[in-house]
Amino acid sequence: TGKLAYDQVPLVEIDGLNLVQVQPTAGYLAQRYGLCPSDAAKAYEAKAIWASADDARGPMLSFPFHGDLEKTREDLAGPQALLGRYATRWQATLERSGGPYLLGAEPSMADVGVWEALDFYRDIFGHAAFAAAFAGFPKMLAHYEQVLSLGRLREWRDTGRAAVFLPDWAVYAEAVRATLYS
Amino acid sequence: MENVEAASPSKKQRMEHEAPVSPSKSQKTEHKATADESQKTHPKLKLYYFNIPGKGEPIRLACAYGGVELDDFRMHANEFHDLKVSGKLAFGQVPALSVNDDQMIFQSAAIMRYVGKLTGLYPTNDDLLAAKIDMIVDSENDMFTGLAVSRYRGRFGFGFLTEDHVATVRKSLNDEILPEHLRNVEKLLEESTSGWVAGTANPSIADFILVPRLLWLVEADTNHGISDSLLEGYPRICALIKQLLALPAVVAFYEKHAKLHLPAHLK
Repeated sequence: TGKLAYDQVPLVEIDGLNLVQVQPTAGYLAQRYGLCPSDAAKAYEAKAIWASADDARGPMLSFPFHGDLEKTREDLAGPQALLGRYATRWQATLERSGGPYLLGAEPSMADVGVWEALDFYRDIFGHAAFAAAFAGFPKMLAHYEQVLSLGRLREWRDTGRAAVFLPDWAVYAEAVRATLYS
Repeated sequence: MENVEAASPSKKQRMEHEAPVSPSKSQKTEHKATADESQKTHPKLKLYYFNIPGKGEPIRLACAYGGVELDDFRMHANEFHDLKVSGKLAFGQVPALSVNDDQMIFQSAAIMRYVGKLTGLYPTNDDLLAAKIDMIVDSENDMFTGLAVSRYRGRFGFGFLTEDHVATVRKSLNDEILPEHLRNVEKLLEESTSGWVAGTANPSIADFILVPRLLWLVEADTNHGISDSLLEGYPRICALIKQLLALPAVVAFYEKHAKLHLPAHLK
């Protein structure tokens, strides 16, 4: 259909546009829905934190394909990873901004990106392990709950996505392999 | 040369050693008079492991090969967490095998020896052959120690390793250490007329442990720094892999469960 500019997904069809490439797509949606500050410096900060969540998420993206929980937990605990680096920096950002959001009083795409990284962890390891892993980052756990209260995010997490996502990681990985590699 | 001959038993000797691993036909008839009866002679087995091949796959394949029913419980992270906090895991790890809903045994090699005795993959009355199989299983542990430490660093006290450290280790493993181990396995296979690694007439637990592990070693995007063509220089190892994967019970197992993603030269 020619909608995929670079033959890649994700694709978001919105406002007559076919948006590909995650970062600018997120930027467009954030602007559209009031999650991107109009001030350029603040917009930069929101996007930079979003991008850092992208880096933090790396080991979790490959988890479905190897299913190795211990390796994934190990990779996320490392000094350059989610727990060793990013959670510390994000918590410090929350302390500086005064919260409850990363940029301060108002939510932005930064909060969504960071929330998703934590939620991905929770999804893979379960709530008990998630709470234990982030016990050293109480502001991050509070932030997680704060963002969950936005819009329909709680409903999406608890029921909505189960209706549209594939039932488990192994099935998801097989579907990706079948689509992209066979 | 003398040492080599002494180490390599004559064919006649090998046949005598091989016989006990695969139950004699009369034993088989007695135990498997009816399908129901054969199930009754086996304890009730339940495997607790993740939904990955990993250390559980040899156990699954061994039971499939031996026709022993296995409740193959593949856990999600939540379920593993609950099992850990229950205190039931002697070493906090899986695979775990529950026997008759009564006892749990742990450590994949120990489980395989136990399951091997039920499935004809491990001798019950030949200590020397058992030792030969054990030495190969133990050597597999040696072969993969460095990789395990580089992969599960915190478990071994190496949580401080950076990505650069891991890359250095992986290069050493790929270029020097693993090839030396693989050469040793290739040599064992050269000495085997059956193509099974312990020189047995039929497969043993050593084959069922080695093959999935070697496939995992070279699986694409699994062990960074390890070449996915690492096994190509070892024709007898490749033949062993194909030989095991061609066993009817193994073929049937993979038709029922997740597909294998084999490198081209092993398909």
